[in-house]
Amino acid sequence: MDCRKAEELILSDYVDGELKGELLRVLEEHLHSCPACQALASQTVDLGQAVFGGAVSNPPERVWLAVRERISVGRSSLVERAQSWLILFFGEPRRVAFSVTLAMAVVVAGLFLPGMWHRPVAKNKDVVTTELMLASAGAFLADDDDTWADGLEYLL
Amino acid sequence: MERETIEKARAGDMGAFEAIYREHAGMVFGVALRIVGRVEDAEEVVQDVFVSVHRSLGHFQGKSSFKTWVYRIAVNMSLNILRRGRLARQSELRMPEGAEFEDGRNTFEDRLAVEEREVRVSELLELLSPDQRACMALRVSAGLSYEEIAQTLNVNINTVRTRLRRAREVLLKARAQRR
Repeated sequence: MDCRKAEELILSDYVDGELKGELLRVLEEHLHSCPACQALASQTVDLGQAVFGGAVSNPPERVWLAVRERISVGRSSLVERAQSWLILFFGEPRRVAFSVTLAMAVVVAGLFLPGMWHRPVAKNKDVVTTELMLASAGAFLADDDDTWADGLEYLL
Repeated sequence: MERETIEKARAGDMGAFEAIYREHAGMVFGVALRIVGRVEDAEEVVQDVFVSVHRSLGHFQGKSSFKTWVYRIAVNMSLNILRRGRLARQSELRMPEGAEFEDGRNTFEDRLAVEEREVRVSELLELLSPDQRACMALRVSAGLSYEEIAQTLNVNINTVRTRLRRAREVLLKARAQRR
């Protein structure tokens, strides 16, 4: 095993105790013969512990008192309830926002898109209007002795 | 957590719910603190998590472990607070005003040493993305396996592996530059 592959395994599976079987045996063999990778493994564990490890005590008692009060008084608003439910089922707010937006887009598309493909009304309206105008112009010309120029002026 | 305790809490037994709180509050606080980086925010997360757990107990079906379920709520709420808080201010890991060490170390030097360390930790935390923080907190602070982290965060196990590796690369690089 080369150092590059060893480093990849050290930074995740090895220091987390997730490496098993043959791969673990080969890596440990490499570590015995490579002081640089040995040092990396040791530093990785130390640094992880320094930043994320260490004993964390229980939260102060006031936190429990606040929890108990909020539960017993039931003062949480409807919005808070909805928020906690959304977080519980869908995860982070960003995901919630994305899911809600997507759902709304699908509903809107479902309601309006089919109508877009069948819009004969507007076309007929134009035809009817033109027919009426021509009929009116025809009537204008038939009734009187007006010229075509007068008819055109009437149309416009 | 015993099934019986959960059932009692679900039926409205406040004593049983308190037992649930006492068993899990420390781990929730520890993970939240490593994600949000501020004691006050971590306390807010603990509050919100357990109010939410109480409301949702009736819907916990036991498909995942109770611990994983609570962690999932805790991580989601921590990430929520972290993202909200980042817009307003830089995070800072520090003791709240008036707080005392449990072992009685309260000299100026003690506090200074701890605060200096916490500032360094806070600076390192700032270098990680919220998702990387969550993975590291669940792995190192809570001791969850990759499988449990994947279930908690609802992501692929390889995503967990990659986030942990990248987080460690960032931390090691930052430490090397500091020297």
